[in-house]
Amino acid sequence: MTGPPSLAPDLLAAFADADVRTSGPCPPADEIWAAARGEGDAAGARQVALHVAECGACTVAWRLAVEVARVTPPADLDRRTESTPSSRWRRIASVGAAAALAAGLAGLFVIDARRFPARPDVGVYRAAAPAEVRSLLPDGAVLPRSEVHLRWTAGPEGSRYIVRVFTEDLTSVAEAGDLAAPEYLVPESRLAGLPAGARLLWQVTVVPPEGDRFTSPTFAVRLR
Amino acid sequence: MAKLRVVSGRNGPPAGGPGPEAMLSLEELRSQLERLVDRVCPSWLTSRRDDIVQTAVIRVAQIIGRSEGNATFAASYLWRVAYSVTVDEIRQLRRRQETSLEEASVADVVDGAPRDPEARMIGRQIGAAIRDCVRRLGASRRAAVTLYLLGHSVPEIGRLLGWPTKRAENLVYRGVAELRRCLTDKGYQP
Repeated sequence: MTGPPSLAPDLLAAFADADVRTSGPCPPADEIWAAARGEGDAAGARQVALHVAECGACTVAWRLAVEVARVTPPADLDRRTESTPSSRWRRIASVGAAAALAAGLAGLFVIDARRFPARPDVGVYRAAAPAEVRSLLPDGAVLPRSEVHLRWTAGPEGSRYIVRVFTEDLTSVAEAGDLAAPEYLVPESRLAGLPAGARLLWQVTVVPPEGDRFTSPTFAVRLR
Repeated sequence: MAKLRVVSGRNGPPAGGPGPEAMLSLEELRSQLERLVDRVCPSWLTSRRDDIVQTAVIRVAQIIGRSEGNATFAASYLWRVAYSVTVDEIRQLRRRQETSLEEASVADVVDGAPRDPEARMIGRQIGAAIRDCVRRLGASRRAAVTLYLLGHSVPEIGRLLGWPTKRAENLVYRGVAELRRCLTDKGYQP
């Protein structure tokens, strides 16, 4: 057999770039890592590849794992096994694959995952989409040391918050967990060693009463 | 590049074997992660690329309990952590885009040059078409062709997916041929 039929470069680029979204759950990052680096079992890698075919975010994850593999020690391919899928994600994916096969036998030519009833434990990996966390401070706010009062948009009712404050070189300045309200006054004593004009980075993790916790983007303020 | 140094595994998990373990500082990790994310970042994430890296590095710092500015850690361990938090950040960003009024917007500027709206739309259509054609392939061909489209060689595809090279070759060749037919039917020139 001669080489595979070629494809135009712009098609290859468009495939990798496509923002496709699947309704099914995404595999844990470490399963994509293992599959892309040849470190896990082959059956699991095939499941991951099938998911990557339909998920733009996991396509990025796969490509990133390959790029990281180029700068880190190579995978131990002798550890490759052909064990049956054991992870919860793969059991879910296997159910989906079996359903797809059944649909194929029924005469469908295009497998559309949206036609299958929602699997009850899909929520394990895809909780209800969280609200976005935004800083309530103006962009580039300059604050006096006595009043570094961080405030942000509230999460779902009953949420608790974890806030972390860093300097630009990622030295931890302050951290507070289990806050009931979306605000935090950085103790002035924690800022004592920092010069005027120092930039502080801060980030909030919202822990809702139900569903997955989620983390805000990184915000910045300056010390007067 | 990572610094090579003989260590006893005092920073991060034990080295796990004889010989030197490559070490990495957070600053080196940040600069390398920036490069790698830049390489794989799709257009619908480009405008958030810096935020992804910044947030990921902060979370790595939290996880490893960094206290000293120049501390170094086992590179393999650091990369494993960095990868997980980067993927997590990408997924969170995707979820925020799904619920935000500001829908996932493709970067208006790429490499300093403004992106033509029509080119963006055509790119999106082509991407959707090729993904749809891949979706129509049988499972084995779909897996093989997906990896082929992501740049893996045929032997590599066989190794990753647990097939003899000959089988991987068959799946890729026939899968790509089927893909080309599907794209032609959709009006594209593959």
